[in-house]
Amino acid sequence: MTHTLNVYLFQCKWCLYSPADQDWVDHQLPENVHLVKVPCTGRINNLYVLNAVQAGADGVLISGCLPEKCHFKEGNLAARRQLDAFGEFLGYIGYEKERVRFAWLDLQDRGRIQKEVARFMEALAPLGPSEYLATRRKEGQHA
Amino acid sequence: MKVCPYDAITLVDTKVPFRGMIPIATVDAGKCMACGLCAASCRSTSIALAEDTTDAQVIADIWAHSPKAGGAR
Amino acid sequence: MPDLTQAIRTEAEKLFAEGKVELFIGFRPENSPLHPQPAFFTQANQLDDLTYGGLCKNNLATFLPKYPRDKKIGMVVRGCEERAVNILAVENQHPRENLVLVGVPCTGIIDWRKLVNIYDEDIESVQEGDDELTLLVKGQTHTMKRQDALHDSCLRCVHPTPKNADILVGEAIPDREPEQAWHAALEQSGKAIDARFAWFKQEAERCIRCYACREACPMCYCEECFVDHIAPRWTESGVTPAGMHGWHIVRAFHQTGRCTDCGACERACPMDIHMTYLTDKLNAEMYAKYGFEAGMDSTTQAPFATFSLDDKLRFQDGV
Repeated sequence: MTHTLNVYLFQCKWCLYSPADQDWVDHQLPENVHLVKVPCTGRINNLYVLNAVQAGADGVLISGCLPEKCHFKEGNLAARRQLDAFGEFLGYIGYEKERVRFAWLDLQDRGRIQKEVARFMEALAPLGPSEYLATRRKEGQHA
Repeated sequence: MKVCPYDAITLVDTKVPFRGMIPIATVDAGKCMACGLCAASCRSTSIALAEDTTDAQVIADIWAHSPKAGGAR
Repeated sequence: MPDLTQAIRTEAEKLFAEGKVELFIGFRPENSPLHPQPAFFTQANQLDDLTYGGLCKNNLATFLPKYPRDKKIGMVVRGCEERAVNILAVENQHPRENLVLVGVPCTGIIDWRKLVNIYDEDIESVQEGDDELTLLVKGQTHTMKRQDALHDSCLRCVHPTPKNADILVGEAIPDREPEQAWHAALEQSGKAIDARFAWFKQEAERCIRCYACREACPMCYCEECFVDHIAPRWTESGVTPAGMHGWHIVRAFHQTGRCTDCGACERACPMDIHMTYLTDKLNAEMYAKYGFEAGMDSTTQAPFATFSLDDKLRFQDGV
């Protein structure tokens, strides 16, 4: 039986320059990928990631601009240290580090977001569904 | 703590009920670009932005799409 | 271990006499010999009640943000307390001026629970010798090696002597290597993920959400903690797995680059939860990635309070 792994994608709304990519993210994401659009990856509070993990996310993909290309100057660097450390810390607790991934896109990168999502799903497959921290998943409380 | 890329936040001594005269983060609205970095970094989550999507809405959205147990389709 | 109580009293008396302090924070004995309490002296003639010893388990820096910034306060500080005072100054919670720190090189805080685990609640008195403790239990005398009674955080302590105290009472104790401070966390890191989670679950799920750890910690000074928020409710408030996990994960994470590893949280916990292994890991990360140790001075910002353009090299795409 194959489990479809569920992923939350936190996407900076500025980093997809091409309308085709933007449209893909807005309307054509696979069913198992839920989009959370943010004005900047720097806007992502670690508590968002925690909630996604406890909701049952098998993976969290955070996609934003390269530092030199951030719409808000070097804004996305401020939270990077924290998000990166938080992802590793979750790994220490029981949510594999590989389940939290960052994808920094250059404005020139057309078609890159689709590849990142596909790559992420491939990388997650051997890890299987998240068990330990998915304590608030719908329809079934984990002990 | 300096996360604002626009230097829009300064600490200004303000009279706060029950806490006295203390430095409080004050935003210069003219400089603020609503990027939300301040809100993301604030440990006590005391900063809110007047924006389209509030923290409460993001969290509600995350929970509305919580996958079913087992993830099997 | 020399009895420093009289030396501290003498210094505090001088400070009152010279008008340098309006308040002196220290400890006083209580009915239970294992639990001296923090004490707040406003006059020199109260200082006969002041005590000091290995059983003084609170981190006194936690009280500073409650006072007005211009109040002249004197305080006893051990290594970890002085570092907490520095961090409070860096984070704008209480300025270093107007504080007179009476520094005490620390030979370690006794873990009261280690004594109770052996002798139950029947301990009538505890005398501290140089390397040994002498306990009176139901009329019988027992001795115990001091090393066996110390709190785990103290066994790993890197900086037992306050570096920037105004007055130092007693002989300075040299620093130890930072690397040895985190071996407990690193050992945990080496385990397989199911073993790591099993340990976390075993510890965190005993939590009763009393927040004694938060009250004991000098770095938990937020007027409204993230768990007290209801819009949104960031983490469940009860003793559900989600709630307990969320509380411990995020509280530890909010300590990153700020925790002095004093262990006051563990000593305060009624459920004997071992939570320092979480903050230890984060402290080890901050040291490894940024060469940072919290509280070494009263001006340097913690790694999360700032960023550098070099950071773009740190966080590579993908794994």
